[in-house]
Amino acid sequence: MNQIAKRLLKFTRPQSSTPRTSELGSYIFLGAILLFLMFPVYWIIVTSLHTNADLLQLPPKWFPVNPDFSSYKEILGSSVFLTFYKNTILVASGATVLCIFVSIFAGYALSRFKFKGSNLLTLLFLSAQMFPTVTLVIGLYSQYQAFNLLNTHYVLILASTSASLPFSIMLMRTFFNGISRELEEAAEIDGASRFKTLFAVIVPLSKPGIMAIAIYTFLIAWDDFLFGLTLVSDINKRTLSPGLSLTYLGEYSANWSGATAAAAAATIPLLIVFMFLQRYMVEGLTAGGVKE
Amino acid sequence: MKKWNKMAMGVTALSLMTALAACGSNSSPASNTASNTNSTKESAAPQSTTDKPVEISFANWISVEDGTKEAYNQLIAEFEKANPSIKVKSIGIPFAQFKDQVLVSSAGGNPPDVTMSNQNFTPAFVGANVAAPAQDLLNAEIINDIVDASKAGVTFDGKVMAMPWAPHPSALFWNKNLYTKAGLDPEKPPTTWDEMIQNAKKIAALGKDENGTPIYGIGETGASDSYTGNMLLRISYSFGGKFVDDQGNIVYDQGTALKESLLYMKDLIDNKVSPQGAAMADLRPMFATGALGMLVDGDFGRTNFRNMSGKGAEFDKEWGVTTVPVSKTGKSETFFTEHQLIVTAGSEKQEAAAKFVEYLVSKEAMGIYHKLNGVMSARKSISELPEMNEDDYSRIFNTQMKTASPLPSKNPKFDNAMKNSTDMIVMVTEGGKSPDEAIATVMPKIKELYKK
Repeated sequence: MNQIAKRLLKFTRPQSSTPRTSELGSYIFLGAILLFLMFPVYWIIVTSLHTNADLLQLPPKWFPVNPDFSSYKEILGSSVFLTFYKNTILVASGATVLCIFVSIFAGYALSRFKFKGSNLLTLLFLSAQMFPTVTLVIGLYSQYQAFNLLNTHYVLILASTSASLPFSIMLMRTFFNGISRELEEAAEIDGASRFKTLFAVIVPLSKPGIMAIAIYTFLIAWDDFLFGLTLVSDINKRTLSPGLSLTYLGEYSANWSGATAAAAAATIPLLIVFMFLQRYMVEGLTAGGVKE
Repeated sequence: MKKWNKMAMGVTALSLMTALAACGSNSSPASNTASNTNSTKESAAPQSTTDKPVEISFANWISVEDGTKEAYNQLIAEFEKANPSIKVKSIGIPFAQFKDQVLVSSAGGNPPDVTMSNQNFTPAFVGANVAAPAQDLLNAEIINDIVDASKAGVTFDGKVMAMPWAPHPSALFWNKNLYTKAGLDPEKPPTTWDEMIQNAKKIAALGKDENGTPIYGIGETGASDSYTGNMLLRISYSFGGKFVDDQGNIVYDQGTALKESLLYMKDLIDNKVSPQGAAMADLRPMFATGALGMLVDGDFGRTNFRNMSGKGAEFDKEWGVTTVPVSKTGKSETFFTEHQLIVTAGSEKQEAAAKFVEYLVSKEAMGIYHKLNGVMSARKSISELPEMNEDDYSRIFNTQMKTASPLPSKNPKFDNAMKNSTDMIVMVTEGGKSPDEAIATVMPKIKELYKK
């Protein structure tokens, strides 16, 4: 495990000795940051537990004294919300699988084969990430329109994959660079084909990187608003972010209680995914950060 | 090894193509749009001869909003019943992203056949050649029936480009309970500007309610958004002001109207008669929860207040609505916003699309929409019908519409100009500047903006 990951984990381990003043200061500082970061989440939950009429009272109610779960009941009974949910799971899962598949091959190729222009190709990959997504929307829209892909789940899978591929490929390339070539040569001597070597030797060793890509892509696809809003117009194919905006945030008024309840409910799968896989995320993202 | 190199190059190139998919040229959409436009007339003709229903797409934000969903469903059902050869496919887009999304789909060669619009979106749609001239597609009788002020708002270079659908003039709502508490007659709203200020000050003198919530006499917006700019312009109308002259030149700072408007704002905010820095989204709930004595808002106010108060239609007993009090000009001055309908230039089904628009502004459709949502018609003959004036609420807004002015939003920079103009309120109410200093600082920037 690399040094950065070890340092991160150190914070979670109980300390036997009394913390020094500087450590205490660090904890207070980190606690303040945590409070700052967690407040929006807290506020979303508190808002979702109030009625809209309660929310509009001044001064605001900071704690849900009489929590009201009607917004949650409403969204769980709403077929439209469940459709948004189902579509988002489909798109996020599809994008994750596709992105892992493509970035394993591309990352491996960039790591192992030095061909003419390979460095330029790497740079081009990175440059794709440098354009603000909003500037790419018309180009993407035209292209998908030409392929007759608009208004399908495929288009959202492709778009989210496009958005996460540059980083994912670079991550996989870094991972593969860290795996000794001798292992491949040994497999070759034993008669393994290149594909067999890749999937039986290299990929298992790259599990943290693959998991990091999976989480990263899943998060990107799950939170996507712009592609979901632009490339799909049929309400039955909408994903959560544009769907919530469409349903709860109107021209003259907003149903904040409903919107926050839906947002809180929409976050649950992400929390579950992240809770189980965060170790891989840290390992994967910090891979290659320290030379062994 | 060479084979592997080739394969590697192929796979990476494929990945790169996916990653760079966005970098495709967007010259084709333009040509697509152009070809769509050229083929419109040809393709519109044969559609009535086929047995298969023609499907038209309708970009809108009313089909998904809770308040208007029911009206939308009824309107579409009635239209499809009367026109079995046409099916309407809804494209629901959130209001906040509506303009950008319609522009993107149009530039991408896939415009909706009909799109909703409003006074701020239409200039952009006309400027981007998204809109087909309504006067060339709709029945002349309908075009001639448009309320004059509405027609002026959708006429570009002498052509009516959009069909006004539902105008929303702003009128004065007052809280009867707060009037009673302040010793005012709850059934007697102010009729003059001075009376309105006096009443507002008496209500603000109540201080706080039993829960400690501050009570304000009137809500005037002071936030840094373009709607606040619109409201400042509305106030200046009452003092005889104008934003642009007939040639489109900015004359906002000519005369004393803007200065008097800023002094009015300063007086209210300095004396805590109106809350400081409030956006319309803050003021509406304040009115709905009894913290605000008066508020100038549109005809959609009733639905909003019912929802926000948590009391539903029962809340109607606690407030009244009247025309904006008369000021310097001797008439009730206000502005109106408006929902409009546009048949797109890129539509290949303009004939069916025009038929749909004609239905939506018809007496039958407006009857449904008015009954369910209280909206008014932008057609003279319909707005005067008894069924569109069946209660005081409708009568007040129909009366208000007669003296309401359209927002001078034909210049696409208008929205930015309105946003910039809010700096004057901030300077006067929070920055300690005089109205003259604020006008001298901000107006040159607005004029410069219009020159670009």
